[in-house]
Amino acid sequence: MEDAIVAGNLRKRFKTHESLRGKKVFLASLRRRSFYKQALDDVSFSVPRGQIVALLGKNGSGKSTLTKIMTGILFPDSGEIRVLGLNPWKDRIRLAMEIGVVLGAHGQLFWNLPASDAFEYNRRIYEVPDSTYQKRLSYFVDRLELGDVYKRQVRQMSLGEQMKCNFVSSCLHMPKIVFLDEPTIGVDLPSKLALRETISEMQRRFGTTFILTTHIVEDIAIAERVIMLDKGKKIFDDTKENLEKLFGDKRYITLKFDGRAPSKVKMGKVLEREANVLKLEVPHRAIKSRAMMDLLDSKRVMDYSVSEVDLSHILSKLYRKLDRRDRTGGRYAT
Amino acid sequence: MQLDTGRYIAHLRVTQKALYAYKVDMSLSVLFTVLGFAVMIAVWTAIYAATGSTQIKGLSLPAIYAYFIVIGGLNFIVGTNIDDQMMNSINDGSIGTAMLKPIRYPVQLVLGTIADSFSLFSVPALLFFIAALAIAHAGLGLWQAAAFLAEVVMAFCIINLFGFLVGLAAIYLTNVYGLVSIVFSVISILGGMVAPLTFYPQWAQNILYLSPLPSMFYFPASTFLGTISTAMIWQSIAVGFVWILILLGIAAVGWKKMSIKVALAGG
Repeated sequence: MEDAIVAGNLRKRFKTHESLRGKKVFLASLRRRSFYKQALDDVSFSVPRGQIVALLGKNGSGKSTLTKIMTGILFPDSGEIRVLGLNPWKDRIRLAMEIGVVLGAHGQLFWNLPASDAFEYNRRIYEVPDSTYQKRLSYFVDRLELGDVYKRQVRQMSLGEQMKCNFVSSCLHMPKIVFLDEPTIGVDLPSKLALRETISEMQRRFGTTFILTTHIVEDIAIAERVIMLDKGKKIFDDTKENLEKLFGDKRYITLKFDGRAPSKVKMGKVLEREANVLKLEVPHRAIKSRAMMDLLDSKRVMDYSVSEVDLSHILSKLYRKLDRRDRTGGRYAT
Repeated sequence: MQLDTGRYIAHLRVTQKALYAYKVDMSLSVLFTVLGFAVMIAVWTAIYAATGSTQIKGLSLPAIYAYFIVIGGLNFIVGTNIDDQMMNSINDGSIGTAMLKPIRYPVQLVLGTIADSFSLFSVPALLFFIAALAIAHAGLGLWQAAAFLAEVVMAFCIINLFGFLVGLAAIYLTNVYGLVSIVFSVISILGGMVAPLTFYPQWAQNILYLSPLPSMFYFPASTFLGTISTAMIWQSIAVGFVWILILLGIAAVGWKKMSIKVALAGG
């Protein structure tokens, strides 16, 4: 499959400042120290067309910098990048015609005008024929259950409605790649589901590539692939399933005992214990072990359930590990 | 550079529509300009009354009134808020979204200012110009009108290029309100907003006439009222044109250098 994005050895560092402590408030505000922050450090990857990629990382990990470089509004210090075969910053206007971007808080809508005006504006600047525009608009209005909402002034819309309208505004020209930064922030549950379903459907029907920057675990669920950054370095690049395996090839077992639950069992780690209920974390393979079978068959266990370790648990565990590494100055390798 | 007229017209239209939506803001802008003009009228009336003369430097009080009414009218159509727009969009990061559109950001700014100046404020400006002609008992010949129009366009370019350069400084300075105030004061004093430049010493006038400052207000107002010679009008157009080229060059180089840093300024 042809690559939508090819990035090789991208590096970007920013000069930044921090105030120095002084005895007087005024002097303290004047004294500051400059230093360089490595926002991207030798990042390479490629994204085939039609893939949904989740770009993950803690705050300040380099996600936004990478997105800005991919969209052409930021230059890398070194390295190569081609997006749809174009150099993003040299061919920014040509690339703009082929991509859609939703940057969280910074919407494409006009605050005092109805969203329909922004749609019409985008129709004209992206040169979408009127009949095509009408078809696409009714498709998005239907999929995202927008009804007549888009005809209202943006300032009268809820955050979720604004988000959906921003998404429509960015996709009316049917871009080949859509960059989404926290697309479901502030969106109610039905709208979140509608947005996710629309993203998946656009990928299936039109082969649209999505680069999804998010902290919301449910958004990641629609991604086929996860790229994780930390301190500007790529620390993970594989399928979502492999991320789960790498960090969480574990299962949760909840056991309900006839009488008081034991304080420990040998096949797993006790996560919670409450009267006759015990929650364990066990290695995946331990579920079918002899010891587990014996325990479940025993008369002491009245009921049990098995569940997978969810992505939010994996990510919070990983982020905690990264934080610990930062505090201790140690290294963490996947 | 390719001209995407369809996109530009679309941008012009939507900006105009968005500006019309701020009706209170627009009314307050008109009121602010009228108040500024009223202050100048009051000050100059007091000066003429204090000196007891009917003419100062060859200008009567009605001629001064007419001059400041033209300045008020010019202020509606050549005034800029490009610097403000740039500073805000750099600081809140919305410049990133603007730069992602298939229209170059500086072009978006220019189109926004054209929508602001020439459509919204052209009616009050026109009323001011008619009032000035009536007070000065002056007419407007075809040549004079053409020269005035050329000078208005040049004033628009020069003022907005100044605004663009000040706005660009927001990438380094973050907050450019202080710089905006300094530039505004310099333009007011040396561009003819607070006094016709003929009130200054000859040596100062000679220097100023080679700078871009009189092209902003003094030359267009004087051309409109017919108080400067044809030779001076040609000189003002020539000097103004050279300055537009110089400022355009600086703005183009500045944007090329600074736009590398612009997206990260907003986070």
